[in-house]
Amino acid sequence: MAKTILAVDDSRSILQMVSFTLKGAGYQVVEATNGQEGLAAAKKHKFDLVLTDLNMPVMDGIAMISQLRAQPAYKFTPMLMLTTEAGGAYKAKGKAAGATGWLVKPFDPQKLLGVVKKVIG
Amino acid sequence: MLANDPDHKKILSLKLILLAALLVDVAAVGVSFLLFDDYRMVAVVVAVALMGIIGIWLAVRQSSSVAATLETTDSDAQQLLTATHNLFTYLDQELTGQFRDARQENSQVQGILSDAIAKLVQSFTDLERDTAKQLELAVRLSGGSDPSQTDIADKDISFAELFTTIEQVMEKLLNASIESSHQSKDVVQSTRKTREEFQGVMSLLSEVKKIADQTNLLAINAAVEAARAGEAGKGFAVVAEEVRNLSIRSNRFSERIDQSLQEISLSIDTVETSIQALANQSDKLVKDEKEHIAKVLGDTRGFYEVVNDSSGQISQLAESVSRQVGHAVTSMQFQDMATQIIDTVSHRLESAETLLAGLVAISSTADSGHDGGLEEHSAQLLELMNSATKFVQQSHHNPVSKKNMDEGDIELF
Repeated sequence: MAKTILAVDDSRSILQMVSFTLKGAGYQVVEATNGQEGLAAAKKHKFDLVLTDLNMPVMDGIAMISQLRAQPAYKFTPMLMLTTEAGGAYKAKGKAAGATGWLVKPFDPQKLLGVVKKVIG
Repeated sequence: MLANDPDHKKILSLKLILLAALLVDVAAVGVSFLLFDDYRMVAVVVAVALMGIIGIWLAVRQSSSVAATLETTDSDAQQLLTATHNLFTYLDQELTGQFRDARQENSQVQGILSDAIAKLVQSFTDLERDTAKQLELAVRLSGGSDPSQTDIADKDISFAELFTTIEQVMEKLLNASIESSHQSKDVVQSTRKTREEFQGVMSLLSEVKKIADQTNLLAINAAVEAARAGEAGKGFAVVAEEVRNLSIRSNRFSERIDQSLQEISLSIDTVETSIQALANQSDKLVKDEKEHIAKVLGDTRGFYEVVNDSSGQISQLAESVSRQVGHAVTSMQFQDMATQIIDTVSHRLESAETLLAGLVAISSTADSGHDGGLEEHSAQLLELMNSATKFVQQSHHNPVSKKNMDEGDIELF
């Protein structure tokens, strides 16, 4: 059964590109446009991986990861940040919130796939 | 009245000049904020402005002679304040509109970028999907294996399989023709051998005829001898006559056999001729068709190689398209980055607008003759500068770290 990934980004085009890349490799992708939508989606499905932007309206990616990590179902789920931010302070905050990795935009589709495969197979 | 006191006028003038100087300082900070995208530059200007204010303030407090040297009158100061207020009012009207238009245009650019990129992404993803289908078809046509093929696709006959089948059928046909030619030659040989054996039988028949003739001759001689013997030879004469009749019957029978054998021999000749013609025709057919089949198979193999080579090129092109689409996907993320940078610019404009509105409000208070005192105006200006510093700090952060469209770093914790 195909693994399911939650992709969260306030940019529709980034969601399009992430979905295209991951679906092409056989993954199922559910999209959300902010952290709150991501949390709502995570209640309905159990995702194998969460891939989220940092700066988003309503709720940012780090806050969403922090809340997801508090849920037993997502205690060990890989969560990757995909953001334009590359500052060490942000990375430290993300890591403290429970992020598994940090990918700086723009992403290369094949490299993104490589990381996803490495993390969830 | 206190207002007519010359000393009071001088102090009031001093206050107004100081207030005007402070307003100019703050304006300088605002302008530098708009012109220089560098927090350090803004901080330096703010520091210089503060130092100027403090210096002027200390000079006023510590030197009473300053008031004496000031020649500006109340009306001059009032005109200066009015002019300053008018300037700020004008700037407020003009720049606020400009700021609003700039923010609207930023939003418009973001909308256009978003729409264009959505369509571009869709186009590129469709392009890659179509190219993948094209590759799959090319692979199936050339007969290459594709692990992603389903059972249904496996049932399709590939060009390679078709070519192999045609080659096998034609080889079988050719071999059958060669075998038929060989068998025709064998039949011709057998027929010739049969004819030779018939000739042997016919020569044997001639021997039988000779024996019958000699028997007839002997019977005649016996009849003559029986006649000489007279009455005693009458019985022998009967036997001699029967022997002669037998020889005559034998001759007739040999002639009939010979006639039949001659007819059979003619038939065998006809069969031999026909089979020889068939063998010759088969030989010619095999020779001609062997060359023809070799040419057809050669052409087919050549066509197959062209198809296979084209399939390989299509495969390479598909991989190249896929790589290019990957690069395009990376590059098209400029929209997300540009949108965030434009958001930052809009926040900067908003901060500048807020700063300008504060300056206008303060200049308006001073111009209205509100006797709040120099301390109150100074406090307002300092508060405004603190707000400006806060705005600058907030809007200075650029959320986009990359300066180009090269792919970003990846770090797994």
